[in-house]
Formats: sequence, structure tokens, C-alpha cells
Amino acid sequence: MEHGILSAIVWTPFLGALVLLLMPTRNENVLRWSAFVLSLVPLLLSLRMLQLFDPAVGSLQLSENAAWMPSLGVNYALGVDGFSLWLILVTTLLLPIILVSGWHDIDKRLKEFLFFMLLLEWGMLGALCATDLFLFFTFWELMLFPMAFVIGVWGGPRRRYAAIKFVLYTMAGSALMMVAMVYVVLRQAAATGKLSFDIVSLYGTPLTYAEQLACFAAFAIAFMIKVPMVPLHTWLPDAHTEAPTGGSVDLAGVLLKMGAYGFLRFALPMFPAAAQDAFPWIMLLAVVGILYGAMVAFPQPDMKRLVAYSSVSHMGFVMLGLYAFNTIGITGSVLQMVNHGLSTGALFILVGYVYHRRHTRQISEYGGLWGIVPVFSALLLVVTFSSVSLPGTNGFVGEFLILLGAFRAHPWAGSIATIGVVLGAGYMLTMFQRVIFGPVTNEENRALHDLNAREVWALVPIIALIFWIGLYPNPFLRRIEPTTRVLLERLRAAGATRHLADEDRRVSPTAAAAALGASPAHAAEPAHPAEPAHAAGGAHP
Amino acid sequence: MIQVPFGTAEWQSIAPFSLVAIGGMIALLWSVFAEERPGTTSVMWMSQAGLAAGLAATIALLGSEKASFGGTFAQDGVSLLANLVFLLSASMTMFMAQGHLESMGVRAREFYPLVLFATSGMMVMGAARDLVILFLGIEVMSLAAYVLAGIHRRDPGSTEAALKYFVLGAFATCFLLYGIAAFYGATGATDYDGIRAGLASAPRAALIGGVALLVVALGFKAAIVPFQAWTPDVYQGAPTAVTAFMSVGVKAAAFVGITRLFLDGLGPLHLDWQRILWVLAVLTMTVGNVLALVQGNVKRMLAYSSIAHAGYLLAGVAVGTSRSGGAVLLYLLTYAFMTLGAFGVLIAMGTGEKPNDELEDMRGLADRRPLLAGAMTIFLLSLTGIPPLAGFVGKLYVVEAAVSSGWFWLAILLVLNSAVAAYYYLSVIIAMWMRDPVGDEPAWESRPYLAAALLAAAVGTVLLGLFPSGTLDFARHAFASIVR
Repeated sequence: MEHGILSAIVWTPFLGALVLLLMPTRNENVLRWSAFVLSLVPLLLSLRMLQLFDPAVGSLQLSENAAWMPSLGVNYALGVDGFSLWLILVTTLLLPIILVSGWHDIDKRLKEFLFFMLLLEWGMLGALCATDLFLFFTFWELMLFPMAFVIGVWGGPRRRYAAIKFVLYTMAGSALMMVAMVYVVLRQAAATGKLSFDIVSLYGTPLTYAEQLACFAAFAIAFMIKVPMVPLHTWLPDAHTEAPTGGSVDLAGVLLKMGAYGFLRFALPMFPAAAQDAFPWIMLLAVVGILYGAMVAFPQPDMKRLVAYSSVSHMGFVMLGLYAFNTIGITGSVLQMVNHGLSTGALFILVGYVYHRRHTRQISEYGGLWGIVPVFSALLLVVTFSSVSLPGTNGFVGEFLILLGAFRAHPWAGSIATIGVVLGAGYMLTMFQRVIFGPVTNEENRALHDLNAREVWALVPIIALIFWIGLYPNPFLRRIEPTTRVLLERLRAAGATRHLADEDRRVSPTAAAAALGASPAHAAEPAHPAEPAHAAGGAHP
Repeated sequence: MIQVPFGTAEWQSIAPFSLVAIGGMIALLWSVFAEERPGTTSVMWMSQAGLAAGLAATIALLGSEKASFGGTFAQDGVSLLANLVFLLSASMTMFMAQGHLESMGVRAREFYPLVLFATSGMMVMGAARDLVILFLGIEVMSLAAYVLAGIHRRDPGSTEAALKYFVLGAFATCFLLYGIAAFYGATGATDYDGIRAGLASAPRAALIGGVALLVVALGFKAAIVPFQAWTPDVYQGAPTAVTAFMSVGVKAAAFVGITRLFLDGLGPLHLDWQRILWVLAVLTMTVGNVLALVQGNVKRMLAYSSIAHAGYLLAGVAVGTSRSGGAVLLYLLTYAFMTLGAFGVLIAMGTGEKPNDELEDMRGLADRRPLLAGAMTIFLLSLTGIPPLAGFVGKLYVVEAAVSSGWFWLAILLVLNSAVAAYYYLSVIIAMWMRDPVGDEPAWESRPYLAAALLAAAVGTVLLGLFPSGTLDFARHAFASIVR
């Protein structure tokens, strides 16, 4: 087993950032090209990691471990499993895409912008790879600041407000998480006589129910802010709207996923009993988020704000699938995180393209673009389809699995969430229609020039992945599923089975895998209404 | 009367602070009587040599823990680490003041010897295991600090600061003496061993009164709410280098004194003082943070922020275990690096005519002086408590000590407070990086000593944050023998 690959992935962006900062040039093209090349290094390394990754293993692999603060039991420990694998790849993939797509976007302090983007990538990768709670917390806090700088220095007119709101929300959440973290570690030390921040050993911490509940609440609030779940979401529309395109892409693509990832990695396995009993609340907030996000997105006049609220809705789906507590739902959630990162990232990039040309994001300023900028319109169409989960695109696979899982576990939640799918199609297609179709209402738009080769090529990888995941998701699901199974086993072993769907206990792993493998076949058909009823019957024998 | 021995152990244990004081005297005399009036640089270097001698004597004691003078004067791990903090803050202050005082029109050679005198007083405080010796240390430190606050004689703000500090300080001294008297009356002793022995048979009312009086007196020096009223005015009025010295050195000395007194001398009384300190800690951090939120002047904001940090430190004392004692000591070290650094940046902002320490003046600093803005960002993020910087580990260990003793609410209030604090630290960062500069660029002065001190502070802030283990183990170990 080749070791050190994760360290290389995490630290190359940091080294790249330093190299960039120390480069004695102000020549913008030199800076852009160097940043682009530097951003390819972690991408290539993470592809190598994908190659080394053993899909059959569900637990952490490619692990690294070194003592960091021995007296506290803090280690520098990295590892990867099915939950983090694809998110790491999305992170490393998005940065080169951001740099290429926004080649000319940044007109001031370019060097610092590129520096902060690389630093941000470092923080996100560190948080995704860390398997030591302390190390995770360090990166979790660290990644806030590059993002805040990107929003605050290069953002829109209300950028400073958005930046400070973003930081304060997250910090308030993580403050309590820190206390809970210390508490759990001390309890674990009291039981074993050894201080350790190692995640896997913390999974078995003996906590009373009340302790679990308090600690779960502290962790869950920190993660719910990041997801974000209603009603802790209000920082997101501001941050998204004010951030420059690159910032929005990273924010939607990776940062939001940290919340859901935190649930999977920490909140659920560390506090299984409390986590399962919190289910009515989380479900409620997830469903409310899905509907609320969709309904608020509808009337937004600003494209970016609309996409931001759609994120609230989409992340609600992710949380819904996660809390289905069955293989299908959780696997679908993890895939949907990747999907949302790709499609929302692409949406922000496309909005950025027109914004760069016209300096407005108001939907009412556009109309009839199909005849003027056909390439742009076609790309927007594909990405919109992915976002509304049209069969054949990645969004469908993810959302379908989530709903399937949710129906099996909690039919009522699944049914209500389905309304969100319809609403999602509603607001996205309405936006598409108002921007692309109809007569040209604004004469200025006639002068728009279509996307150039650079702008198109930047999106090609995302478009390819949208169809790849949409048509043949197995390579992706195959690597997520074993980890889901490990998590569910852990929950079951801890007795957190009250809300686990019955089918999961009865159906053998192979059969469940077959169900997953069959999902692309389902993708070809329209979603049939018989499914929920059947699943509901299964859940209540 | 106890027979006080005076042997090798005694000589060794008084060597650190004596050498610093002697260094101060030599520097003072030389600056007055030299044939040609020496420049401030040479006086500064001479004073640094005094500090270095004190440091060498301190390090020489490493590993040989001694209590001398019949146990009333301790040279143990605590005083050793405390001495490091004091010497560090004195040395950095002197480097940072070099050029800064001159540009304000203060040609004061006596500045450096005064810093040394104050430092030797602090070192006495750090080692005192007797209330009278503690009193002596406090007075030696304070007398020098009063003069330092007013060193800018022609500036009304500086004079006002000195007067306020002096009058209120004298007032606090009264409380200290009454407190000492109460303990002497109740237990028949002023040394900590004697007080511990006498606690059981002492009248309760006298003890509680004594604790209250000592809390007032030491709370004044450490700027603990509600005895903090002097802090903002004095900190703002005094020259920035003096402010840095006061908010780090003086505060650290007060805290080492408090920690030793409560954990050691009054250890068996736990429940009585713990509840008082708990309330004061929460009050201090909250008031400090809330008032810092509304300040438009960065120096004043840092003054309030130092009150908030006093609250975090006091929380560590209130927990009252060897873990928390060690955490307080480590916190003092981390606090020294980041606070000295932040004040150092403010010194660098100032020019001869204008201090440039308003929030407005920080606008666009990243454009004009990116390195200075970068350093300030590190210090402010560390003060906020962002991992892996020093300020975070300081807070983490206080929280850890509190949680491990079951003081959850204290830990929760502490972290929530630090989340509030993020707002005002961030607003400086935002001004530096995200706003356009206003007005003409001031005529910055190049000050190599200051730059070196800032670099050292930044490196210290990062390294201590990344590798706190050794220092923490040392600090905890030091307290393990004290907390019984």
C-alpha cells in the first residue's frame, strides 16, 4: 500500500500557495498559469488515490498516522473512505475548473486571490482527509478564513457584511462543538486511561444517553449551520450572492458538503442513540428546508440568489437521505453531495459568464438568449436538467436513491419531499425560460458574444461527469456503499436501530447491492407512483 | 520568629530578579553619568543584557526545584515559566519601543531601566509564597509601571493615565494590606504554608473577608471586572509600548500571583473562592467583549480585549486544579506573544505626529503594507482563537481543564464569549483587507528592531500553536507539586 498519498494531496495546495505568494512577479498571465499548473498537482494526485483506493473496503484506508501533540493524544492522522473519496476528488477537480473559467474575472490583487483559493483548497482537503478529531477541527476552522477573504475582498457590494456573517455563523457553531469534542475525549480517556482524538476509537466512547444528547446537539448545530439547514441557513444566500464566481463554486461544491459529511463522520457514529432519537427533528428540518428553499427560490430576481436558495433545497434532500438510515438513502446522499457540487458549481460558473459580460444577474435583464448565445444556452440547459434531476443526468440518480431510501424508512417524509422535486423543476425551468427563451427584451443583450473555447472547455469535465454519473453510476456507488454499510453496522451495534428501515435488516447485502445496481435501469423509466406505496408497506409489516 | 537561613539556595533563588534589577541600575547610572550622554540604543542593549542575565540565572535553576527562605520564596517550574513570560514581554517591549518613543518626542533613557525594575518586581511576584513578599513584588512592579505610564510627560493623555493608575493603584494597595492583615489575624501567618496550616482553626468571617480584600487588590492589577474601570483610559493614554508591557507583563504577574495564592496558599478553601472567581471570570470576559465590540479605536479595543482575556485566564484559576493551573500558565505565554504582536503592529502604524490607531487608519493596510497587515492578521486570528495558532491552544486547555472538572457552563460561556470576540477582531481584519484606504499614506518610519520583534512574535504565535505539548507538560508538571 502506497502511503503518503493523502498527505501529498493535502499539502500540495498549501505549498503551491506559498510558491505563488513568493513568486517575484506581478505579471498576471504568469500568475494564472502557475496557479493553474499548481492546482493540477493535487488533482493528479487524487486521481492516483482513486486508483489506489480499494472499493471493497468500507473502513478508512490509505491511512497515515504520526504523533503531533503527544501529551494530548493528538495525532496527525489521515485516511479516506467512501464518504470522503468523491468529495476529495470534487475538491481537487473544481479548483482548476474555477481558475480556467474565471481566467479574466479577477481584476485586482490577482496574486492574493489565487493564494487564498489554494489555501482554501488546502483547508477543505485537510478537513476531508483528517481522521483525528483535533486535526479535523483545526482544518474546519482554518478553511473559514480563506473563504471569508475571498468573499470579503473580491465579492459584490455587500461583501464585507456577507463575509463577517459567514464567519460568525460558523464560529458560533463550532465553539460549542469544541466543548463537546473535549468532553467526549475526556470521557473516552476516563474509560480507557488514554487520551486520544482518533475518530475510530472515539466511536466507542461510553456515554450516557443524556451526555450523548448534549454532545450530539453541539455537533449537530455546528454541522447544521454548515449544511445549511433551515433556520440556520441565512448566511448562505448572502455569502453566495456576494462571493465572486470562484468562491461561490467552492462554497457550493465543497464547503456545504462539510456539514453533511460531519454528520456521517462524527455526529452519527459517535452519538448513535441520540442521533437516532433526533430523527423527527432532523427530518422535519430537512423537509422544511427542501420546501422552503424551493419556494423562496421561485420569486428571486437575482440568478445567483436563486441558485443559492436551490442549494438550501438540495441540501435538504441530502439530509433527508442521510437520515433514512438505510444503505440506499445514505449512499444516495453521498452521491448527491457530489452531484450538487458539480451541477451547482457549473450553474455558478455559467451565471458568472453572463455576469462578466453584462455585469448584472437580474433575470429580468435577460431573455431570448437562445438565438444570441446558443452554446451558452445549450450548456445552461444541460446543467439545469442536472439540477432538476432529469433522468439521464446525475441529479436523477442521487435524488431517486434518496427518495427511495426515505420512502422505505419514513413514507410521509419521502412523500412531502417529492413535492420539492416538482418545485425544483418549477423554479429552475422558469429561470431558464425567462433567460433563454422568448423575445429579446433588452437590446444590450444583442451584443453578447458567445462562450469562447476556454469557457467551454472549463465546463467539459463537469458536463461529462453529469452524464457519466447519470447513465452509469455504478463505479461511484460501488465505492460509497461499503462505507455506508460499515456505518449502518456501527449504528446497529450501538443499538440505534429503532428507525432503521426493516428491509435493511432483512434484505441481505447482496440483494441491496442489486437494488443499487438496478437504479440506472429505473432511471430510464419515469418515476412510478407504485414505488412509494410498495416501500411504505415494506417498512411497516 | 522563624530563623531564616541564607545559604546557596537562597542566593540562587534571588539571582534572577536581582540580576535584572542590578542590570537596570547599571543602565540607569550609566545613562546619567557617562562622559558623553549615550544614545537610547546603547541603553536599550545594556538593559537587554540585564534581562539576558536574569534569563540565564532562571535557566540555571531548571531541574533543581528549591523553596528558599523557609519556603516563602519558590523557585519552581511555575516561577521559571512565569519568569520567561516576564522577560519575554520586557525584552519585546524594549525592542518595540526603540525609535517609537523618540518619534513621539520622548527622549527617555530611563524608560529601559524602568522596564527592568518592573520586571524584577514581577519576578518576585511570580516566586512569592508569602503575602508580604507578594506585596513587595507588587509595589516594586507598580511604582515602575506608574512612571512608565506617564513617561510621555508633555502628553496630557499619558499624564492622566499615570495619575489615574497611581491613585487607583494606591487604593488597591490598601485593600491588599487589609487583606494581608485579615489573614495574619485569622491564621497567625503570612506565608502560604502557615496560612494553609491555620485555615482549619481560623474564624470563617475573617477568612472570607480576607479573600474578598485580596480579590479586590489583585483583581485591580489583573484588570478583572468590576475592578477594571481604569484599564481603557490608562491603556489608551500610555504610550503604546508601555500599554503592551502593562497588558502582558503586569497582567501576567498579577495572574501568576493570583494562581499561586489561590491554588497553593488557599487551596484547602476551594469552595469559598471558586464560586467568587467563577462569577468574576464570566463577568470579566463578557463585559470586556461587549465593550470591545463598540470601540472605534483599535488600541482601546485591544484594551477591552485584554480584559476579556483576563476573564478566560480567571476561568482557569477558578477551576483550581493542577491541569487548570498549567493551562493558565500556558495561556499567559500564548497571550504574551499575540498581544505583544498586536500592540507592536499599532506601534508600527504610528508616525511622529499621529498614532494612527483608529479603525479608520487600518483601512487598506493590506494594500499599503502587506507584511504588516499579514502579521496583524495572524495576531488577531490567534486572539480570536483560530487553530492552529497559539491563542487556540491556550483556550483549548482552559476549556479542557474546566470540562474535566465538570465546569461545563464555564466552558460553554467561555467559548461563546470567544465567538462574540471574533466580531471585533474580524472588523480590524476586514478594515485592513477589504476596505480601500482613506487619506494620504502616512510617512511610515523604518524600525528594524520593531520589525524583528514582530517577526519573533509571529513565529512564536505560530510555533506555540503547532507544538504546545512540551510547554504544557512542563506547566502542568509544575503545578502538580503545588496543588495538593
